[in-house]
Amino acid sequence: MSLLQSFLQISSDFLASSVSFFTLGNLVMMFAAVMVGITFGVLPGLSATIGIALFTGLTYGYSFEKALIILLGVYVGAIYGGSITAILINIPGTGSAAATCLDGYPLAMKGESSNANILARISSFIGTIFGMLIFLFLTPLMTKLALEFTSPEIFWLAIFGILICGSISAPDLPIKGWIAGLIGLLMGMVGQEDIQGWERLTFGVSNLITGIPFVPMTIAFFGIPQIVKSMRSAQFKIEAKKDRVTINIWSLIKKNFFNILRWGTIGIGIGAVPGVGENIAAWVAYDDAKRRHKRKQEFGTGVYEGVMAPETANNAAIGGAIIPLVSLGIPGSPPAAMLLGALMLHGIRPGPLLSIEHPQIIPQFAALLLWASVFLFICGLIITKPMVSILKVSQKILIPIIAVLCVVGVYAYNNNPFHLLLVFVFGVLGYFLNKMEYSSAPLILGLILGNLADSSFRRALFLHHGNLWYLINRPLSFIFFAACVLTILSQTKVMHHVKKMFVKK
Amino acid sequence: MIIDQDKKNMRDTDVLFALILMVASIALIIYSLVISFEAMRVTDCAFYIAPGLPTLLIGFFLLVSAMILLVTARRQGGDLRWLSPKKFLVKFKSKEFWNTVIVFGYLFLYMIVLWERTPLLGIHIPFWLATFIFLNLMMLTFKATKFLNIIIISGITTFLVDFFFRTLARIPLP
Amino acid sequence: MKLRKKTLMTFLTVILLICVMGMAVAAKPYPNKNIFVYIFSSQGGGTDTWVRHLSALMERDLGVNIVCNNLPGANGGNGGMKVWNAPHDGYTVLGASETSMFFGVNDVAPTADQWNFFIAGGSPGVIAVHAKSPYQTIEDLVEAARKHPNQIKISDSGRGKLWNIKAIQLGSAVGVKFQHIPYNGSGPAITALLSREVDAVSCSAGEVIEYVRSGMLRPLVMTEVNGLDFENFGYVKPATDYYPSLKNGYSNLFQWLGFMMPADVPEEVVAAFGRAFEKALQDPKTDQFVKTQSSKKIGLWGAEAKKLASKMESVASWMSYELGLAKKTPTELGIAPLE
Repeated sequence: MSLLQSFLQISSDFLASSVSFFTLGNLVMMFAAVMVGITFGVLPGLSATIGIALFTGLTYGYSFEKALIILLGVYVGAIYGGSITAILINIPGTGSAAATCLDGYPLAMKGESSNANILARISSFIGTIFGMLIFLFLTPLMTKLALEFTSPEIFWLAIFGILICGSISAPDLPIKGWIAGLIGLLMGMVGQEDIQGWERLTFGVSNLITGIPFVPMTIAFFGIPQIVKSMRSAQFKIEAKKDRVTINIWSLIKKNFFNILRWGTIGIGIGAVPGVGENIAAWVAYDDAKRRHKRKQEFGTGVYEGVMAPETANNAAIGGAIIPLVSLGIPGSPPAAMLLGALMLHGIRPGPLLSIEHPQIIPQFAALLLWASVFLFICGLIITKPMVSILKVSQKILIPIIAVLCVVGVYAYNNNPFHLLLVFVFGVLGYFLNKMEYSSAPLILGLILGNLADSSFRRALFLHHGNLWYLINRPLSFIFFAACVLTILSQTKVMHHVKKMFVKK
Repeated sequence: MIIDQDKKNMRDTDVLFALILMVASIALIIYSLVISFEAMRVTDCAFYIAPGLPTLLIGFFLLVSAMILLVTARRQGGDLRWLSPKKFLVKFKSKEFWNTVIVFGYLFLYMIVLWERTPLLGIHIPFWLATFIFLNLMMLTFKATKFLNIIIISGITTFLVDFFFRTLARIPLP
Repeated sequence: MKLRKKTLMTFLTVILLICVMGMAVAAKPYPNKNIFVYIFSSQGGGTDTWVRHLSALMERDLGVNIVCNNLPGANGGNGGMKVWNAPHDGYTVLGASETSMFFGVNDVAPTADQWNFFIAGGSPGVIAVHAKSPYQTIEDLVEAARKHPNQIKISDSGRGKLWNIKAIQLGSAVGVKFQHIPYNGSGPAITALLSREVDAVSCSAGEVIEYVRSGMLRPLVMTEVNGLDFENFGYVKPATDYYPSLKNGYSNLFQWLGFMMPADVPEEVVAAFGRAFEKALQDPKTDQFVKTQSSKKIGLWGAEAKKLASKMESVASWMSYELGLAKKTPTELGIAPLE
């Protein structure tokens, strides 16, 4: 009974906030914010985190409500914007769009860039709405769940991600997927580690103490090879003939209804786990889509679900990431961490009491997310058409400009010229790996997960004095452990035999 | 058995890369052991929290993977006979090779030499000039369009990039 | 060949243009152009929030834009060296915290005697346990650690960081061994306590205040020389009340956030910046900010701040050396031990 009551209360608050948002000033502001966010997402190197950081300073003098409109608009826009660049030129505009490259770009090469773009847009829209709904109604439950993620659980989650590395196999030999993943993991090990404060593989370079940054590396491994390849042999061309949407979107959504729910859940779940974030969410969703698809082996050559899954998950992760932010004051992802700082600048300190003392805050956030996703849809519609037509310009003009944007983006990421050197060196490596048909995807995933897996593993052992039993003695950690074991088995012949036995019966 | 030339080339490079990986992973294993024992000596910690443990594991798996790669590539006809000066000469003459070198060269010039305080030139070149030079060089070399158009396009791009990043996004470009 | 001539001409014109623009900078009193602040840690952290708040207020007073950018990495050394390598004219300022006290031993940037400090404020340190924890006082916790050495787990923001050192100082003063579990920042360290992965956390009061207010966590003791009144909880005594031998260590090592400038910046520039800094601290908006941050104002600059910094650097450096983390020994750097 009280459950129903609170449900109705929240719904009516949400509706009230959504309606009261509807003023001309707010609409214009949100439109501008989402547009700026998309621009930040489109440009390689500029990410949601940087966008929010910038606008935190610029909106300092505004009222809290207005600042929040702008910041959430930028957040939602930026996470979506990365997909446009990923699809059109195979360079992820933000880290969270790296998984979208895998099938988005092949689709564009096939002349289906409009299809890919509209799928990315609709998936992002649905993802944001889904994340928003879960955030609105299930925050208390999700908070409890997020607190269940201690070091062993995070360790198994990371291992699960690493196993995915291998399954996003290379086009040539399967072993190459693993090797790329291992190289990525190794790159993730560079820098000062979390447990002993010891410097690993830095070779005395002080700029490497914080490790190899992930956003510049997406440019090094996706951007540089792409730039060199297209300049070298004039093969970069988007087929502009079929520049119209040629698929039935509704039937595609209907067909994938449960898949979308699952990808959204993956996004929210991973987004809500503190310190993991939307990048991993996109990869896990991509892998899930691939695993369950009838035509697995066609993934990577332009499958619609390969675009939908990561885009649904990374936008759903926004709702996920602000769940622990609002309910506990713990940000679930790097952009959410920036949002926390912004809230504090406006005199609001998120914590367990925030939603009790300000019961309006969750409906308010949710209403803004709703409007942001509506504007995402509109702005996306406005912005993709000109983007596609820009690509019709001769690539010999376009690629140098993209190169400039990539280089500036790398610098803008942390204002550190050392990263340019790093990107150049790894760009050369990336080019050769690319030529030998090592996929960049597992490498980037390994890089994201390396440090997380390492520190949570050794911390879990440290907590229990080296006793391995404690890695699997809690219900959630055991479930994740079992999932990892099943993943390994399903890739070997054992599972095949077991399946056969059942079929015979 | 007929093997097409592309695949043969791929297996040849695979053999070389597998060997490089094996050497690198052995070096990594040694390195991991060294830093682990060093850390254990200084901070008196157990091996399971030593900083070299994860790199040791990665080194081990990398070694195994490289071995598998080597065996697979050998079975499919890869070898190291291609590492002869004659074959390299053919490569040197190809246009694609030189284009690759030129693009990397320009990127190097732009990213390393012209950016920030250049160690080689010893002077500070403003960001917009470096960008302008880079765009011109790149487009001129690959004959993108007419000379005047190139200058105009480079100029406009430079201005827009500088305006957006420096003025709007407040990023302190050099 | 025509092409080459044209190119040459274009570049010559361009170079000429730069020279003209270079000379056009007039000489007005400080500040006559935008001030760049490099924050040496990433977005959203304590240093970031404080520096951005102060900058926004000082901007109005100084009449120029203060542009904040984050340049994290190398234990703050990236930001430190960026500012150090820029002209020492007060237009490039470092947004810093007490982590800069480790610049020397970490061998990433010059030591404290080469800098000017503008110490704005900070949050006091606290040791807190979960509300359901059996430990009611700090003495319970210490007793438990005495009975089970290396079993009582205290989380902190990372080995060799301020809150880690504070907890170690406590342990060594009373002669017990805690197990110090490092996390990647205070946020994860507190989360670990909320999920009861550890027994206690050592962090700043500002970071736990909301959990204390809601009754999820219980503060045991302040790792400071002064106590603090927690809303909804009451007064928490300082550790020095229980263990007086901690006085020297704790009084000279605490959290601060603010700005740094190289020491050889012209005096009138330092004074102009300092006056704006002081005004920003007296602003009622800062009072509100300090309250939500649950911090206290310190508000030091000039000679006083320098004296404080050099003392703090000594404590921090020797502690880091004892932990086996120092890349350069304090003796090498000419940092004498305190006492």
